[in-house]
Amino acid sequence: MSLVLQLIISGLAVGCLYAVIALGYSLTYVVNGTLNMSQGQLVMVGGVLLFGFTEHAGLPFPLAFAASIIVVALLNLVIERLAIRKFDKGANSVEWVLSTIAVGIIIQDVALYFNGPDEGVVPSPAGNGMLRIAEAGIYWKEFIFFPIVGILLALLILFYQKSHWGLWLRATADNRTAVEMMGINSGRVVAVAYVLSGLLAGIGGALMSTNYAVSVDVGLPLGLKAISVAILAGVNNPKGIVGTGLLLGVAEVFIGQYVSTAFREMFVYGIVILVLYWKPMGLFNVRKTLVKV
Amino acid sequence: MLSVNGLAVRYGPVEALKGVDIEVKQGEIVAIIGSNGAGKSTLLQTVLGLVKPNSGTVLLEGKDITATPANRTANLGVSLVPEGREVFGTLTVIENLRMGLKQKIGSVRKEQFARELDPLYEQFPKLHERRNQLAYTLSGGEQQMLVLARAMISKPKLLLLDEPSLGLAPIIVNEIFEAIYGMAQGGTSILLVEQMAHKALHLASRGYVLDKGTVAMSGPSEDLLRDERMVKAYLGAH
Amino acid sequence: MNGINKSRIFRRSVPVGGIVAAAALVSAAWTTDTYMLNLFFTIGIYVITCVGMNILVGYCGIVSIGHAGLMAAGAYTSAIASTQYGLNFWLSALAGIAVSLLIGSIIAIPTIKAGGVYLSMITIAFGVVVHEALIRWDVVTGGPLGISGIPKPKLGGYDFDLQSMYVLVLVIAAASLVLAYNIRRSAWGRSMIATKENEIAAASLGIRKFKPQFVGFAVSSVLAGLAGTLYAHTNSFISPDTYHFQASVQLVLIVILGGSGTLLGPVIGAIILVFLPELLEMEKLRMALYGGIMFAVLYFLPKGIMGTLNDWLEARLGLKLATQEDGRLINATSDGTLFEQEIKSRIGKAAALRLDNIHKSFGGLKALSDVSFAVTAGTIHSLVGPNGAGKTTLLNVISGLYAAESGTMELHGTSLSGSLSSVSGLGIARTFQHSRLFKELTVLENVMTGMTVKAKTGLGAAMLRTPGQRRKEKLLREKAHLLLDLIGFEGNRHMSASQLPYGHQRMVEIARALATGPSVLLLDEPAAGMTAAEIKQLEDLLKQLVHYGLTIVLIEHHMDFVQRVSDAVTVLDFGRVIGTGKPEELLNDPRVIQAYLGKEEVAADAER
Repeated sequence: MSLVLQLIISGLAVGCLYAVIALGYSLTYVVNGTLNMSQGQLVMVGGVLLFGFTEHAGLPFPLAFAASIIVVALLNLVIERLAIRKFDKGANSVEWVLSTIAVGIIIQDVALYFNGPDEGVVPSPAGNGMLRIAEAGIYWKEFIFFPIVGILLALLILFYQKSHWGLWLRATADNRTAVEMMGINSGRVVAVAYVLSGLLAGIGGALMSTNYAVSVDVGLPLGLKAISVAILAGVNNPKGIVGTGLLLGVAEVFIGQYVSTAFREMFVYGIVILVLYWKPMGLFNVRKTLVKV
Repeated sequence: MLSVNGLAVRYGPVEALKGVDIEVKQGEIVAIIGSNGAGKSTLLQTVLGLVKPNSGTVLLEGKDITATPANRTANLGVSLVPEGREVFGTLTVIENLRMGLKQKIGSVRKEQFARELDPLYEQFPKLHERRNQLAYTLSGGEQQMLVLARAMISKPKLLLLDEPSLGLAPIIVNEIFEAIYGMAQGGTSILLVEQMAHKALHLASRGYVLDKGTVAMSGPSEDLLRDERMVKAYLGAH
Repeated sequence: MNGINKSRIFRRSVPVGGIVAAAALVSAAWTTDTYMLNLFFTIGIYVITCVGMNILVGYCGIVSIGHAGLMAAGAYTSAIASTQYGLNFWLSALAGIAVSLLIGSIIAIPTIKAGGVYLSMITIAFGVVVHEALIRWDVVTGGPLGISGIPKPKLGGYDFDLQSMYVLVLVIAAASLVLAYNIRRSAWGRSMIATKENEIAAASLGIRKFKPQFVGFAVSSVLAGLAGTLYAHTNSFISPDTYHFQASVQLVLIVILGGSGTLLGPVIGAIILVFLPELLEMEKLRMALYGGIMFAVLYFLPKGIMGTLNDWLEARLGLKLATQEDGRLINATSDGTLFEQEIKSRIGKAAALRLDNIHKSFGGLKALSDVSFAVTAGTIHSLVGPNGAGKTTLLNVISGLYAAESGTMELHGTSLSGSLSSVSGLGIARTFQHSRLFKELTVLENVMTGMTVKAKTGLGAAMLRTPGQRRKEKLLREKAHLLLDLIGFEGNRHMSASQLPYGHQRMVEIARALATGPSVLLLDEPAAGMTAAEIKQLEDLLKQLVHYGLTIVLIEHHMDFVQRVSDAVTVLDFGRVIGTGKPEELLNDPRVIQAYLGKEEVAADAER
């Protein structure tokens, strides 16, 4: 029993990371139908930067954390400008998929060049203490993932509902020409979505590095897992994405424990593909409302 | 208010407008009549800046806005009510109306916005009734009222209307036209593109007839209405 | 020298150049050192894989980013079959190909159905999973160390060495190029491009997206598997390192760098990508270089090297690599035999099409309410009404693009329902308000695409281009020529459809619709954008078609045109029928005039 509880807790922690990254995909995908296929590599950059800033540059943790996520957000803005804007030609274009994959490859290789293949964990300010829950335990540094994801989700929903940028994002998702008629530069709306998406990627990466070893090659599989979460949930549903992220995290841990460690990934993606056979638009897709908040 | 001079637009090999001159004065309703493919919608889109002209100028209150992109022109007090309505179907009626505030959206307080909605709701009670519904669930007539109200809330100097009667029953068209007339009374200049020639000319003080990208006829509405060629152009030759 | 002569010389010089190149390539086996030979061999392997990728990316529009996984499936299956079960090369290679085909098919189904970013994600995930499985499933795959000691093929008493493997790969690469070219010249290739470019237009010709795209995926799986086995048995050692994500990206890069959809693109792409790193002698940042190249290609050379070159040749010299031969069978003039006889017997007898109480709405918007009317067989029936009256919506409901919420439809007395493609099979063809020709296909090919369903081309025959297949293609081509004669098309029929003037596009679209052999033809504003002379031509065509027994439903705004050609008119206004009858009666009806002109008093307080 304690093992099951323990597995659930670890699964949820991993799932939190998936959820944060997947929310980043969702932000841009609903706005103009594109997403950054190198999001995973951005997450990696966030983690590696935090490690570099704290361990090598000796910056205090909060400063290093903020710097890391800001750098990643700006990087995503550059990616939007270079790899998305020119290729954003509607639903059937694949150029942006290829261009952002190319960006991902470049980021990873350049990161390898500067950082080397080493991996590192940043000491979390939450410390190495344990929180006991029944017979299971969780490190505080892991536990803080939960409130952080909760707060991010709440902020995102508030942003969508209350701020005029949130309204503009939803309007751009709906009808880009009409947005221009309303006196709003839709290109800027897309750019804002990319910056926010980059912030989420940076936060995901920085968080990850406080609990898991981060090396330059974690980006691709992580990004892929998060896309799966977004697609499984239905990209337009933030709450669904968080739920699905947590679910997938737990499922993964259980498969690893009870089915096969070696084939964990195979099972996970197998499930994703099966779900897509069954529900091609995702589990919680809200068909008419482009962004469900 | 608006002065369009020698405007020419081509889409690839197709010449949509071949040197069009149009003038709209303060508080005036001007109708643009013409058959399908005459270039009416292109004219409005070019005035707003959604389409880049190949030559010619567009002056708004004497200021050259020919190369100004749509999102900037819109904030200079020009509103376009596009053909086919273009509501934000996945936003609620209220959210659609908020979009009408354009860049002022950040500075308009909630109470102030509510106050500005009142006269619109009075004019279009259906919108009040459905204010929290998603716009795609509205009927065609209600959607047309919504886009009109959305354009009115920003109190534009110049309103560009593209086929507001499109696919609507006559009784609803009358309601829409009343609202347009009311706006002109309030001082808004209106450029109205319409296929229902008679209706449009009854409303407008002056009219232009576009044919294959050029102005074929123009003049005061009464003259155009009496012109035999007009009637012919609509059920005869075309 | 005129363009035709030039293009003839060009075409004749192609085989000669081919033979010279082939001789040079084969002799390379004995004239270069092992290092160079290995590079040549690698190019050959890439060509085989990327010819398949090109069918997938260039023809079908499916960008798979997981094909290294299919190469791995072929390589590992074959390696295991020969090292652990002692099968000879030929059998184990067959097993490798079969496994690759099987896995490819399983991946293809959700990929094609999902499309878009889902497609990319599924193929990437597939590649990543295979790579992971190769490392983790060490009992079978040998884990990170891979499998070594894979035997080279034997044939009779002959043992293959690197030289002969290279020649074998060369032959297979050449064969795969021929195969791709044959597919491109067949109904399969045309359907692939049609479904890629315009799914709806393809469906209106009865071609469903899934079948040609699945075949494209399957063919590319076979070629990837084949390349995998050849590589494994030549290199005698394979490991997971060869099949990571970047390898899949490299395959895509070869295709788009060379020029996706072009015949020789994969060859050019493979040569560059194999030699470039050698020339630059880069150890580090090699992947970044590939990423950079990919980015540069997308930015500056979106059609790839061969695509850009082909465009340049076509524009400057009037040369175009023909996908259809010139020449015609007979100089026959078109007559009614183009259309099936049974249609003619129906003229005037009963309603070809009957609609009862059709309703259709979009959200809260009522597009059609209670629409009922009947179209007599062998007549021209026009739908008129102001913009937004629901005419196109009605055409979309009849042709199966939209489903009506309620109401019934009958075609020649039997109930009519179903999707766009199935309705096409029942004998209803249509054109669209905005031209939906397939731009990458020539004028002639566009019309031939209309015959795809009835021609029933076998895949094997198409790939091998058997004598029977050649005859069938000849017949299709001839019929397409006749249809183009019928519509009076006098321009170059081997020109890309994208280069046609607008009026011609509309006419070719009608020919393409006629190619499906319909009994009812639905035309959405065919005269829009046409010159007066073209409109006259259209008028004659429509009258001739009716004479052959077709029934035509027409949306049109040119009222004099409507009056001249129509046997009957239905007037729609705000989604309702306001009358059906003879054109001269109806078009002078005050209700109709009002619908068009709004000629009634504007409400009192709006009156000035």
